[in-house]
Formats: sequence, structure tokens, C-alpha cells
Amino acid sequence: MLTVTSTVFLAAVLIGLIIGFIVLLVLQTLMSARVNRLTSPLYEYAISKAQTEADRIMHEAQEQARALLSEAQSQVAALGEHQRADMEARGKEYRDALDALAATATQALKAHGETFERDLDAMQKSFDTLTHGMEKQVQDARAALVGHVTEAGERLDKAFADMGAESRTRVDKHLEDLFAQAQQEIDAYREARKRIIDMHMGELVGEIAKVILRKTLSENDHADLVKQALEEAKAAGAL
Amino acid sequence: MQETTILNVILRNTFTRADFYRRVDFLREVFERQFFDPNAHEHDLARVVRSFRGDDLAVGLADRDAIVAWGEEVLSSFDRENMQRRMLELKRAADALPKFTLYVPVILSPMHVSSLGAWCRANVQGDVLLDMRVDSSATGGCTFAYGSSLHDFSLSYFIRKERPALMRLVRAYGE
Repeated sequence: MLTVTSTVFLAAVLIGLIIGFIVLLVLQTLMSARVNRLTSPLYEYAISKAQTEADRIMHEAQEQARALLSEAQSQVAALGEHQRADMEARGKEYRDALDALAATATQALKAHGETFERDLDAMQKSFDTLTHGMEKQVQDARAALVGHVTEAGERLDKAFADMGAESRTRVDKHLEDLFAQAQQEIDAYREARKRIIDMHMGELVGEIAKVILRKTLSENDHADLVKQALEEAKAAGAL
Repeated sequence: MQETTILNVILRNTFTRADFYRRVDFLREVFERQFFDPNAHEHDLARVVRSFRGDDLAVGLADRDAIVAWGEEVLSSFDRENMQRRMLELKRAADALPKFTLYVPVILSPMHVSSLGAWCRANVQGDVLLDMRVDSSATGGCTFAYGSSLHDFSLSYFIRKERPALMRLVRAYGE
């Protein structure tokens, strides 16, 4: 009897505990739903505010980056423009300086050429005068000598008739040697003057040709001459 | 693509040291715009280079066309990570190439420079880079420095060479 009573009591306690547990579970669920309903807008508000703040920071950062990039591009463009203007100014100065130098060189060359031409004319006249003078002197000397020789020959013929043909031949040969020596000295002088003229003439021709070639040849002509010079260098073994 | 291969492609239509540096610097400027400008959306670099007009940057149309001729394979081998290093390596490699300093009497057009460069590659050394200078005393030919020697093949050389004939002419004129 006691066993049955205890069993019933235990069963009733167990059922009571189960019912109590179920009630607690239902209450917990109801409370959680209620808390969620109360706190959800708060969470959403916090998240939304954080998202807005993050977007604002990102937007500001992008704006700053764009501003920096735009400023850098502007500075690069300004610097490029400045460099271009500087280069153009320098190029103009360089061209002006080249033109001035070319004009000065041309004038100097022209003056040099005129001076040289005058010197050359003077030298040529001096040379001609000297040559004519020497030739006249030689001719006079020859004529005088011939006269003397003729006179002396007649006297010699008369005085040394007994010396024979051999002696006359020796005298004639001696006189011919004298004439030949005088002629050689004249030729040597003429050749020396010609060498001096040749030397200066070569330099002058070269300088004049350079100035004329620079001014008259086209770019194609210059390029062809450069290539021909390289071919010449290769043929000469310089390459 | 290796730097050596890129350099060989560049040298096909680049014959002077000045052209080399100007074109590589221009290309670097294009790459910097493409790789670091967020507004750049074009990925075809050859098209980007071709889109530049002559007065956009300090290069001419000849330089622009020469870069386009290098091909998409060369241009696409650069990216934002390897660009600086590759440019530096290319310049070092170019500095190590044989140097041929050519003095000419006037400024020559890119067409003539290319012709002279091709001649030097064929007759002097296969990978030589010209260093073009303007010197009016080289009129009638040229002057060049190669190795450790300076050679004068200007009009002065030809006058010295033909001096006897010239003297005969002068003498004939004088007589």
C-alpha cells in the first residue's frame, strides 16, 4: 500500500515538474520574443548609423584622393608646359646664337677671302714684276753676254785661232751652263711661289666649300653624304 | 617575356640612344596613367598609345608609331608590379650596348636616322646604338667616334684626299 502511494506521489511530482518546465519554456519564449521586439530597432539604428558613418568617411577619402590626383595632374601639366616653354626659349636662343655665329663666320670668311684675294693679287703682281725683272735682267745679261761673247769670240777666234775647235767648244759649254743655272733658279723661285699659293688656296677652297655646302645642300643631300662618308670610312679600314 | 627579348624588339626600330630613352620614358608615363589612374578603363595598351596625338606629350608621331609597332605582347608584359623594375633593367641593358657617336652637319629626320642606324647595325656592330650630334664642321660627310678613336670623314678629309687633283685645277686656272 505504501509502495503504491509512493509511486503515485512520485508520478504526480514528475508530472508536476514536466508541466512546470513546459510553462517555464513557454514563458522564456514569450519573453525572448518580447525582448527582440523591443531591442531590434535599436540594433538596426546602430548598424545603419555605423554604415552611414562608414560611407561618409569613404566618400571623403575618395574626394580627397580625387582632389590630390587632380592637383598632381595640374602640376604635371603646368610643369610640362613650363618645360616646353623653357625648351622653346632655349631653342630660340640657340638658333639665334647659331645664326649670329654663322653671320659672323660668313663675314669673317668673306673679309678673310677679300684680304686673301688682295694679298694674292699683290703677291701675284709682285711675283710677276719680280719674274719679269729677272727675265729682263737675264735677257739683258744674255744679250750683253752674247755681245761680249761675240766680241770676245771674234777676238778669241782671232787671238786663239791656234787653240783649235776643242777650246771653243769648252767656252760655249761653260756659257750654256751659266744660262741653264740662271734658268733653274728662276724656275725654282716660280715653283716656290706656286707652292705657297697652292697651300693657301686649298684651305680657302675648303672653307668656302663648307659654307656653301651647309647653306645650299638639302637634308637628303646631307644624309647621302654622311652615308657615303661612312662607306669611305669602311673602305679605308676605320670601321 | 624576358627583358632581353623586349630589348631586342625595341631595337628593331630604335637606332639612337635618345630615341630609346624618349620612347621608354613615354611608355612609362602611359603605364602610370593606366595602372594607377582609377578613371582609366582601357586595357588595350596599344590602342591607348595610338590614341595619343603628337602634341599630347613631348614625343612625335614617329615615336608613337614605333611604340605601337613593338606589339601588344611587349606592351602587355608590363604590369603595375614589374613596371619600374623592367624599365630600370631595360635602361641598364641599353647603357651596356656598344656606342657609336656620329657627328652630322645638320639635324636629320627620323627616316634618315633610321637609315643610318640600319647601315651601322649592318656594317659596324649588330646591336650598336647611335649617339647623334650636330657639328657644322662635319659638312660634306661626317665625323664619328667609335671605340676610343675619333675619325674625320668630313669635307676636310676629301679635300686632303683629292688635294693633288684640286691643285692641278687651281694651277690650270692660274695659268
